[in-house]
Amino acid sequence: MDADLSFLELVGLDFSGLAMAGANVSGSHVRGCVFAGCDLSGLYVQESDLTACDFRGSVLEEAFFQKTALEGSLFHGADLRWARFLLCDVRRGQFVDANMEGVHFMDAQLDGACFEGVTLSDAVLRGSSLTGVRFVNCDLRGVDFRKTNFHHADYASILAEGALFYGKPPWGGDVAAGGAAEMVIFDGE
Amino acid sequence: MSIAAVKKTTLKPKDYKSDVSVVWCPGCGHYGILNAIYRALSEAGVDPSQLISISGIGCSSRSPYFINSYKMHTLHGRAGPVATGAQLARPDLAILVLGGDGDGFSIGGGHMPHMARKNVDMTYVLFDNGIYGLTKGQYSPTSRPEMKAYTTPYGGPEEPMNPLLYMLTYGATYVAQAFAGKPSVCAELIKGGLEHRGFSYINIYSQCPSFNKIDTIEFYRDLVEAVPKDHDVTDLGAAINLARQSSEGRAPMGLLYKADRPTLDQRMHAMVEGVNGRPDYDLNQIIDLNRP
Amino acid sequence: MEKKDLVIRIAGEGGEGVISTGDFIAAACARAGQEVYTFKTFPAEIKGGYAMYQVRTSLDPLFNQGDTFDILCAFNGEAYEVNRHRLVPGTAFVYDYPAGDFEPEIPDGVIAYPIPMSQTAKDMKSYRSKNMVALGALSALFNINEKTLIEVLIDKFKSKGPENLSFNLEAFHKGKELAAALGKKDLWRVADPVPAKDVLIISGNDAVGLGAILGGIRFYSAYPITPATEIAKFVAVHIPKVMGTLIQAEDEIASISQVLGASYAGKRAMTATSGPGLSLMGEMLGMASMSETPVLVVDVQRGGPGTGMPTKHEQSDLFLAIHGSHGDAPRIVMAVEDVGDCIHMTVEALNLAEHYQCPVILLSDGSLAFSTQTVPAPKPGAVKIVERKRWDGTGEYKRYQASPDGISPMADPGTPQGMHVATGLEHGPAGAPNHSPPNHEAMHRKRFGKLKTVVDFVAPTQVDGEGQADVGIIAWGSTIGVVREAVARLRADGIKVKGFYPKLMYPMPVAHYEAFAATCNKILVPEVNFQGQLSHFIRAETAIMPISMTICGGVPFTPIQIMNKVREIL
Repeated sequence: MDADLSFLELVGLDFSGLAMAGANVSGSHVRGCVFAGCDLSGLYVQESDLTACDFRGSVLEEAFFQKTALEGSLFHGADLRWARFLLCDVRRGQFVDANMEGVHFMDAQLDGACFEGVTLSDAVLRGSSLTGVRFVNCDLRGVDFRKTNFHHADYASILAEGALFYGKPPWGGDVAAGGAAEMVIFDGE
Repeated sequence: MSIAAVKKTTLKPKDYKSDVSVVWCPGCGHYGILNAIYRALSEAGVDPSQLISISGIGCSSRSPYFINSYKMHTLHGRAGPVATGAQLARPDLAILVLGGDGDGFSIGGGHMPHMARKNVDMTYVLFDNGIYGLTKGQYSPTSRPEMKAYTTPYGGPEEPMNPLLYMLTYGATYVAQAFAGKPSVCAELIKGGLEHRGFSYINIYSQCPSFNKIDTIEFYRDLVEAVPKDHDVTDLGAAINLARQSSEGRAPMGLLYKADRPTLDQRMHAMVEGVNGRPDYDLNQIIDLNRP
Repeated sequence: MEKKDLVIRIAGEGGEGVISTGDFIAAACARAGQEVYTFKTFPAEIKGGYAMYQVRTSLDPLFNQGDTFDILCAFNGEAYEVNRHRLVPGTAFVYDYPAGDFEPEIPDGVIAYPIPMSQTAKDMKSYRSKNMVALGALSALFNINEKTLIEVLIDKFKSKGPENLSFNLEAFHKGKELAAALGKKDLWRVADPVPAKDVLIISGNDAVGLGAILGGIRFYSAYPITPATEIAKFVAVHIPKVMGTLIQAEDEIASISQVLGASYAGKRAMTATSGPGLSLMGEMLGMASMSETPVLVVDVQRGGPGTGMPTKHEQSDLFLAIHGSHGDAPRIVMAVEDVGDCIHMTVEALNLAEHYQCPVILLSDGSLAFSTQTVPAPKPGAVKIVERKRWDGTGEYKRYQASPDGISPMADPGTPQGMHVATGLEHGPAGAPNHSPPNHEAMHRKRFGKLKTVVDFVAPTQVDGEGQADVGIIAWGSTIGVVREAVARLRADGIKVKGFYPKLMYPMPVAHYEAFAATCNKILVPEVNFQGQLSHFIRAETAIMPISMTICGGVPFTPIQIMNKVREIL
């Protein structure tokens, strides 16, 4: 079945261009590795260190990152549709021209990250820290900004219709935006 | 369950995701198990309309909401008997039961032996995190005594049970174990369970970062040990020996046991054939037996 | 003057043939065109102990087991001892004498027929034929039709070989001769045969089983409990013939859970239990209310609480049936009056569950469970089956979509695009959890609101009598049969009395109650429980202030008890 790279020491390796869909990279040290152009769709990463990795041009559709260090990693032009980053450290992550429709950053640290020319429609940023994040030329329609400090991010040339947030948005009045929509809540069965 | 008769598709894992967004704590191992379930369903090619996912109550029992299928979110501990009823009513469908250690072995513990011994044709995936998460951290039947929790501030007074030994003893016909840090192993074992005709039990260790501070992903990584390559899965004694290791700080990962035995619905069907059952049976024949 | 509505009580030790003797008499009378209503008690012991079987027979319709017996047939001294205080003048007393184990005192006016049952059986070198000697004597003394009786015996014994049959017939004829030699001295005589009607003779429990099969069940989950187990026995024999499944579960919680699962999967499904089992099912009944899943539970009530009196009669589960679940959990509760109801109301209850997508509880009781009665034979073609509303496959499917009557279509698993969740969590129209106050209120209105039409779906009540009355009697369950007779006899005595018989217990047909009460000066509510459970609901839901009359000794009312009470409160 899918490649199993869990619980390994893989620092500084070059995996460029490999087909690694569905691989499991849990509990491994993978600092500074290169995954440029890889097929990593459905990748599963749990509690790994992927600091300063290069994912440029890779396919990370539906990838799942949880409690993982991704500080300073590069995602230029990557396909990150419906990928999930739960409780991940993605500070200073570089997302330029990436497709990030429906991406989830739940309780993630994104301080200092850069989103330029990125499609983030229907993305969930709930609970994430956004200090100094740059959203330039981004499609932020339907993005869930609830429980974030989104007032501390920078916005330029964005679309934000249907975005979810509490109170007033930090961007100008010319951008159409909506209030909180209905969300499925489970509590204490 | 046997999925031989079930309508097949070529859907991708993501096609089994429902539109309800997953709401577990970040860091929870259940994400890996759910990921494995999507993969297993895709690889087995089960049509979502031919699948009933059934759960009780607990963090893991929310899983059916996240799966594109028919589904029942029932009462605490009762997923098993509800699934038994659904399976006997519709033996042509695939039945997947999802739940946790408290749900399955504490409040639902009275049902487990009977599903196993009756060989009800279903796949039971038990998310074993050794804790009651939804009620914020009480010890469960699989908690280690070292664990300090909500109701065990000084550590636990009880020995944990051994789910594999339990299932093997009661006659489950497919018994496997994995941990959430290895979703591809989980997926393979779940797929095997789906393809097995009979009661399939897959125990999956899953870390609870919020309340179980001792059973971490590293703990499970060091605990599990792949089932030896030369293990004979038809040998119940060998499977029991492997299962017993869990009490000695080593837990087998992989398929421990697999047996072919008639399922409950097959035996029920034989009964119907034995009396020449038919949908248009003349009910007057039954009425006439009660004349004076 | 000869008396042709008569009650024969046979009593003795379990295993002596008490029950089979009663069954033979009941079947022979039914074959001779008589109405039959039987009542029996079993010993709590598995072997031995006191057993009693009472047959009431008449050409007129029968509604209960009568005030007392007219004829006592005692197989042993214990049977005599238990019943001697009821030997009143005019009673015929047939007993094992001489060479039995007792010598009775015969009260004045009691007509004694000593028959040497044990001695005759001993002379024939077969103790087992003792009851055949008694049967022969009873047949000769009380005109129990010999032709139909011998037919019944042939049907019973032919499979056991010709020797067995001729032996039993010989004992039967010896008993007949012994009785003939004593000469007829009392007034009790079964009416001469008339053409047999198209009837069954069946017990309340078997009748529920038959109703279940006729009502189209395809799944039944059982757990053994007195006095409901015979329902499962009947269904187990017949359900495979209609390609259905009966499973014995590990407990009642599993039973109701399996029923819920099978029903979700699209099959008509039910279980039967008694009070302790219904208590265990409470949580899952709430799940059925919440998830709007059709389930039928038959509760054959017994003496409670706790383990209570498992083999005894009581009507004490009304509170539990109506309110036994946490939260506001709507359901439909019906109660049967007699064995005929056990057949057709089981069909009706299944229809209600399917139509209203909710739990239905059908209350029977310990006295009906083992009571065999002659009932008109049902015609399968005439049985009306109501199917659940199913999704037509068009548009986007939302399981709990609001609708004018509150009933939303279901989709059987396997239906393409019909995927949905049945959930115990409060949910929105599509089934997703939704705990908002307006949604919870709207869903409660849907689940309770859909039950508003139940009163039109079934015949909820019956009224016995017209015009104004001094006393109106409201009775439910098997007490109705006793009240019917009491009303007729009081009326014959010139007393203005009416009866009101609810079959639908919940939702309570309040308007029917109040309309009836408006025609009566006083309302009497007799029921077999300590608290007066129906009286409680009447006081809670209507403007009526009833007089509660309760007994709870483990046995049903007799007509005389009701009649005396009515005279007292007039």
